[in-house]
Amino acid sequence: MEVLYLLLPLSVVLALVIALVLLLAVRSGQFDDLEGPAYRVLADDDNSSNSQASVVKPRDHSAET
Amino acid sequence: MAPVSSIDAEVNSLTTAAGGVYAHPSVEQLFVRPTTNGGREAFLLIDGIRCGACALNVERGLQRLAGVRDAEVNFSTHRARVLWDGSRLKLADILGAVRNSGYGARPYDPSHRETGLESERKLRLRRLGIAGLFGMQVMAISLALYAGDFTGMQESLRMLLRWASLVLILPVIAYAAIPFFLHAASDLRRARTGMDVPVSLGLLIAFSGSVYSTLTGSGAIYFDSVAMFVFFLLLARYVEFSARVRHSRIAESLVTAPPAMATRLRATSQGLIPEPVLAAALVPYDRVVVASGETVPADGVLVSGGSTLDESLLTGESRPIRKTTGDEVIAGSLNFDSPIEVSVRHAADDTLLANTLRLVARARAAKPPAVQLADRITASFVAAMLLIAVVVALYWWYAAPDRWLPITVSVLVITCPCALSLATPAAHAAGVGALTKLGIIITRSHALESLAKANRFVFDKTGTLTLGKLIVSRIETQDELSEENAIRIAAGLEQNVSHPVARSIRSLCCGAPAQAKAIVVTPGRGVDGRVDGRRYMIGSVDFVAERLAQPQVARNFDAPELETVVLLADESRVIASFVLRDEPRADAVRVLERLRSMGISLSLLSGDRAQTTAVLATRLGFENASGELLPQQKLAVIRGMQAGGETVAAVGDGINDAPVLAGADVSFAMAGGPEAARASADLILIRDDLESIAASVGIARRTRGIIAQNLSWAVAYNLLAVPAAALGYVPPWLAAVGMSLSSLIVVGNSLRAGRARFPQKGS
Repeated sequence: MEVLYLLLPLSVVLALVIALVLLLAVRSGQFDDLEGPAYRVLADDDNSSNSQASVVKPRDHSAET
Repeated sequence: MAPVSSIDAEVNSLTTAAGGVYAHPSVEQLFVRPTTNGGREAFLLIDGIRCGACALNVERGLQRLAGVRDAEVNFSTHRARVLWDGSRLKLADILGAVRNSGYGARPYDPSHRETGLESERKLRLRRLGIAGLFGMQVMAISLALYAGDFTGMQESLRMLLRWASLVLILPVIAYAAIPFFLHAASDLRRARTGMDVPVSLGLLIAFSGSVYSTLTGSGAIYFDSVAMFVFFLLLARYVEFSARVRHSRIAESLVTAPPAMATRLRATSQGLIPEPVLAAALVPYDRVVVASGETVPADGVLVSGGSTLDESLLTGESRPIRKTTGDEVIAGSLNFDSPIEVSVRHAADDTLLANTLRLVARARAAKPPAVQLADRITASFVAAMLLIAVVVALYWWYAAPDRWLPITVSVLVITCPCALSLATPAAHAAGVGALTKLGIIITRSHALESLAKANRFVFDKTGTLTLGKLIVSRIETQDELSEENAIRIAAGLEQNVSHPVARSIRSLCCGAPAQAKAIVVTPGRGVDGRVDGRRYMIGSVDFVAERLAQPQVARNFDAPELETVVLLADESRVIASFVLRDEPRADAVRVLERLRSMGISLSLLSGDRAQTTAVLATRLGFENASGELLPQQKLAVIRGMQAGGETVAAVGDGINDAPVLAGADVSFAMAGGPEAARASADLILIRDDLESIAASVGIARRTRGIIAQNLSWAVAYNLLAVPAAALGYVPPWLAAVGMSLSSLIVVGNSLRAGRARFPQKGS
């Protein structure tokens, strides 16, 4: 039972750390768009900001049309 | 001076270039911000997003565009942020790319008001998160303490648990609950009692009592009740806030119009050179050119050219008005057929348009605030409950000093007017959601309440009950000429004329119009030309009578007041007549019938001629109609109705309706109308569907009914719970649970407003 005297304060500290992470997450905009990520997962092509990765894809499209 | 018509071509190429006004540097500058490495940043509103996949499409389309560095579409708000290389792309290219993929895009200035809402949302989210996180810890500890009461817990461990929960509750009280304290403080400063007063009082008493118990190691602690209370209240308010923000965003994107542009003539050594400028930058005595199809950018005097102008947005006059040199023109009116040159007299803030907007603002200031009634009820309810709490506290202080604190806290918590403060917004949000599905956007929070009470509807005529454009309603031909042939010849003659009448006649023509040669246009009056080798003319009655030198024609075809007649003639006589009128909408009769069946009185107020108004009123069955009213007079009529005890709802579309829309208790504007009308309306019809007005009244009444049910529940609950709490049968945790359950019940009931399936016939 004595271990509780260590664990309880530790859990309080942990809760404070979690709170800090939560505040940072809100600030960084993680909760700005709660719908988008669900759809982004479904997109089949890789979402890359540099264009090299998507070079293949447009060619596929042009072959189809 | 360069002839106006040659300037016209150049002007058109400037203003109708790809990307419209956004292609112009001075406009682009309003919306685009430079970033590092020659990058540019802009925020766009995307129209037409119906699903998540659509938003994804837009985002992918933007990202694939060569020169775009990054693009991000927010699926919830339909806003996009685009970063691109300034040397490779322009704002107009990006807008064009979005349009080509089938969606609408407009830039907006995010610093305007968006950021304020966004930072408030984040603050609320942080508070809610903190309350939830620490609240859970405190609840877990209180569960342990509760179990400890039965299993026998070491006193030192109990103390540790209490101290732990004291530490954990601190962020909840000192951060998450701050808004309650601030509101309560401002209420008290203004000698009012809002719902945050008992909330704050309950929180403070429970908290300080529990702190005292923790410090002295005796008595009970109520940190769990505090945490639960704060969390649920914040949650309710967050839900209400997000619903409000979502609707205000939709509404906001509806009223965002592109900045108006004008073509100013600048004097140089080579003569006058047209240059595009922002309409807001015009000053008196500037010369501007208004091409056909463009809007007059400022009030002024016509100095060169002549044309017909549509002033219906300002005056309600449905027929275009002929203007020649020396006539005054009003900002916001539409130039139909030929380019004109205008010398500016009043620009920007001094135009009739701007003055009308000021009238709107004045009317708005005088608006009866229906919302405040609910606040007043809450306030007296709260004051009564505070009084009861004090009596209870004093009684128990003397009767059983160790019990006064939990009992007082229970009374304060259990009487929290949450049903009032939570259920009303929830029912409201659900009702607003149902309206949005119908294609109606609500822009003021009181609209639903006022709509439920509305017992008189005031309609504008032109553009609201009628289509707002001239349509051929009847064609009569002389002897051998077939109707089809008459249309073919007429359409051939009117081929290149942009006058609304010409457009309407062209739209009738089925196959190919006749090939007309040697066309001579007399702007605003008529056209001469040759078809199949014969001379024909088409135009107004006066025009044809004059050309044929047959004054009796003018008498024979004397236009009834509400109609416009166009005659087609050959060299010697009139061979066909086209009768045009502004037809009522197909759904106008149905909406009026449904409103009447709901027990609502109907009025027609128009700025158009009295006779035209009267004819339409009889056709649609209005019991009360008047025409030739100026905006101020319309407003006076409505004020009179309000003074007579009626709750007035107004429906309109034009700038001339704006004061009326603002002055009525509740108002609808058509989405196609000008910004001024939309901005002053409480509800905006996005779809061109008048019948949704009747449906919205049904929803509003249903929502009001649900709110009334919730209030009866709240009253019944309090009648039962308050005596129980005052007598000491309800511990604080049970009070918090009871309050939450009661809230859940009313919220569940409120959500029915959103699923409302209202009957087709009345309510």
